[in-house]
Amino acid sequence: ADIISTVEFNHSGELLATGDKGGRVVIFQQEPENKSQLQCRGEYNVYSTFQSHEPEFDYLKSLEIEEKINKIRWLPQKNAAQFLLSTNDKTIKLWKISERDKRPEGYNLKEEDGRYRDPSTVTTLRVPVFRPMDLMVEASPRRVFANAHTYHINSISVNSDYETYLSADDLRVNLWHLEITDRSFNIVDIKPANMEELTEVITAAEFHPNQCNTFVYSSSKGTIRLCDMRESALCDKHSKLFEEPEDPSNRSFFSEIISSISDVKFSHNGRYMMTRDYLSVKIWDLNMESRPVETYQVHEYLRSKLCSLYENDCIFDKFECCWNGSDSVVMTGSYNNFFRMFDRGQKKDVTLEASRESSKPRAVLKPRKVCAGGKRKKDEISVDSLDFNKKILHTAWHPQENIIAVATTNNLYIFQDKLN
Amino acid sequence: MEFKVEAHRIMSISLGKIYNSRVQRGGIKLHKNLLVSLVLRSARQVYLNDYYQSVCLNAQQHWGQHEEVMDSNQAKSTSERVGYTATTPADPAATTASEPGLPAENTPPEMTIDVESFTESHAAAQTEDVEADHTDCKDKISDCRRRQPSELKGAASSPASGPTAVIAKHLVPDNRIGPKKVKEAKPPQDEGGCGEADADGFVDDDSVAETQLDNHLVASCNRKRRSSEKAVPPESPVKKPKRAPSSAPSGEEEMDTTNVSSLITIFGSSFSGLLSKDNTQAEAEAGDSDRDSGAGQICCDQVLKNLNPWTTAIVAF
Repeated sequence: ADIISTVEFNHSGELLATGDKGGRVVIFQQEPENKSQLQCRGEYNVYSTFQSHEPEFDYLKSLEIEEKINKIRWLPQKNAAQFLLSTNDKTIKLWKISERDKRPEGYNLKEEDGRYRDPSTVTTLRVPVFRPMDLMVEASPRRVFANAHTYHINSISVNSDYETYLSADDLRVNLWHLEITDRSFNIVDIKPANMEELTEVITAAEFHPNQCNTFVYSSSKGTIRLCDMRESALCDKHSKLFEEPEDPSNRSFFSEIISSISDVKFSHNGRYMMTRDYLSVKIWDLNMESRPVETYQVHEYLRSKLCSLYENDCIFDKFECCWNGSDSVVMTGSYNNFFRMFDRGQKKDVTLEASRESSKPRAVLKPRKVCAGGKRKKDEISVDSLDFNKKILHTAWHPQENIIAVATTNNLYIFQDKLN
Repeated sequence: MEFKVEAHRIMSISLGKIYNSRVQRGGIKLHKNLLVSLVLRSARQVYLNDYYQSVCLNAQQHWGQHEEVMDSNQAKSTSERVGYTATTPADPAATTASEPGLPAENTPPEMTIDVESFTESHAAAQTEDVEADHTDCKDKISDCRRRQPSELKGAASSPASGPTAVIAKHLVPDNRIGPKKVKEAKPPQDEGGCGEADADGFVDDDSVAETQLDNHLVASCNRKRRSSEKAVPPESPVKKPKRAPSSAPSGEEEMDTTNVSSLITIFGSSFSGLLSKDNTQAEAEAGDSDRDSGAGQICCDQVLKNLNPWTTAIVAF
C-alpha cells in the first residue's frame, strides 16, 4: 500500500504532494534556501501526511471501491492555507492544509490538558492568550464530491477560472463548482446506447491553462478531442480532433493497445499539448490537427516484445508525462526505473535511472543506454535484462526550477540540476 | 500455420485476463477489458483466416477431383484440365503457394479494395465483422463475374481454381498481422503458378465457365460460413471434430480441445448458452448439401447469434 500512484507540485513549487495506493497523501515542503550549504536550493522534507480516502463498498453493485489516489491537483493559493483536490475511483475531495503554530493558553474553566476545572476553585479570571507552539500541519476535508461517476475516475483538472474543475471517467466528463458538492454538469458523454458497440473510452482530460472555456480529452483509440464549452452545454461534438493516421507497417495484434493515450498535458504557455502512448511521446500544436509536430520514441526497443508485455500486463501500464517550466524539455518514465527527458530545442534526449544502487546522493546521474540488439557495449543494458516490475509511471517537474520528482514503485526521488 | 497457434494462444491469454478482471479488487476496469477484447477479436480474425485458408484449399483439392469426373463427360479442351491438375499437385504446401498466385497479376486493385474493406470491418463491432465478411464474399462473386468475360487469356486461369484462389488471396493479405516470411514465400511460387496457367492456352465457353464459377464460388462461400461458425466459439471444442473437414490434422484438434475445455470449465455458466446453440446447429446442418446457397445465409445468422452472447458476457457491465 506504499505504492505511489500520483505526484504533483503545487503552483509555487514549494510543496510536492504524493498519493499512494493506500489512500494516503504525503506532502513534502521545500526548505528555505540556505546560502551556507552547498546546494543552493532547499531539500524537500515531509510536511504533512493524512489519510485522504478509505476503502468503500458499493452495496448495490457488490463492488469494492479502491482507496488508491488516482490524481492530486493543487489549487492556486489564495490565503495562508493550501488547498488540493484528491480523487480515487469514485469520489473527489477538497482538502485544506493549514498550519498552526500558536495555541490559546490560559482558559478559566479548563486545565491545559483539557480537563474541566471545578468552578468552585476558580478565584480569579484571566484572558486566554496565544502562545507559540510547535508547528502543526492539519489537513481537513472541506468538500466531498461524490456519486457522480459510474465508471472509474481517471483525471481531474482545475480550470483557470479557479472556480470550477472537471472530472473524467471512462465514458463521461463532469464539470463541478468548487463550492457545490451536490450537483455537477455532465459535459461529455460517449457512452453508446448499446454497450456492445463500445469502441473507445476516455483516458485523460485537462483544462486549457489560460482559456477557461477549452478542455481536451484523450481516448483509447489514440485521438484527442478539443472542446469549447461556449458552443453548447453538452460537448459531445468536438471543436478539434487530433489524430495521426496509423502507420500500416507497424500493425500487429497490439496496435490498438499501444496507441491508447495514457496522459495528456498542455504546455504552460497553452500553445501545445503533449500526449503519451505506450511507446512514444507526441507534441501537438493546437492549430494543427492532422499530425503531431514532434514525436519522441521512449522505448522503441519494446515494439518487438509486445506479446510478452501483453502476457505480463505491462502493456497496460499508464505512463504520465510532464513539461518543464519553460516548455523546452519534456519528461516521461519507462521500465527498469529509467526515465527519459527530451530537449525539444536542442533535439537531445537522455535516459536516466532512479535507483539507490546506481547513484549516491549528490552524485551526478550517469546517462544510461539500452542496447536493442546486436553487440552490447560496456555500460549498456540489454532489453532482456530490463526489470519490468520497476516502472516509473509518475513524474513531475517543478514549475520554475529544474527540480524533478520521480516516483518508482515505492520510493520518491527528487533530483535537481547541478549548480556551479 | 504458426499464426494459428499464436492467435490461439493470444485468445486464451485474453480470455484468462477477462476472467481475472472479474475477481480483481476495485471492480471491472472498462478500459483494460475493452483493450483485451480488441486483442481477442484481432486474434480471432487471424485464427479464422488461417482456418478458412486451409478449408478453402482442401475444398479446392476436393473440387479439382470432382471436375475431372465431370469433364470426362463433356467435350472440353483437355489442356485446361491438364493445366488445372498441374497446379494442384498432391502436396498441399505447394498448393498453398501456387493457388493464391494465379489471379495475382490481374487482381491487385480488387485485392486492395477487399483488404481495406476487410480491415475496416475488423475494426468495427463484432457483429458488423461477420456481416462484412458475408458482403465481401458476395462482392467476390460479382467481381469474378465481371472479370470473366474480359479475360480470355492470361493469368486468370481456369474457372474452377479462379474463384477459390481469389478468396484465398483475399484472405492471405490479412495475415500480414502474422510473421512476414510466409508471404514472402508466395511470390516465387506466383510466377510458377501463373506460368503454368498461361501454358494452358485457356479459351472456353464463357457462359459455361460463369455458371461453374458461380456454383463454386457460392459453395466456397458456404464452406467459409460454416467453418467460421465452427471456429467462432472456441469454447465449444466438442463440435469441431464432428464437423471439421479432413483438413485440420488431428494433433491440432487435440491441442485446441484441451486448452479450450479448461477455459469452458473456468467460464462455466456464461457460455453454456453458446454450447446449447451449437448443439442444435450441428443437428440442423447434418442434412444440408454443400451447394445450397440458402445454407450460407442460415449459417451467417447462426454465427451472429453466437457472437452476441459472447460479447454480452464480456461486456457485462
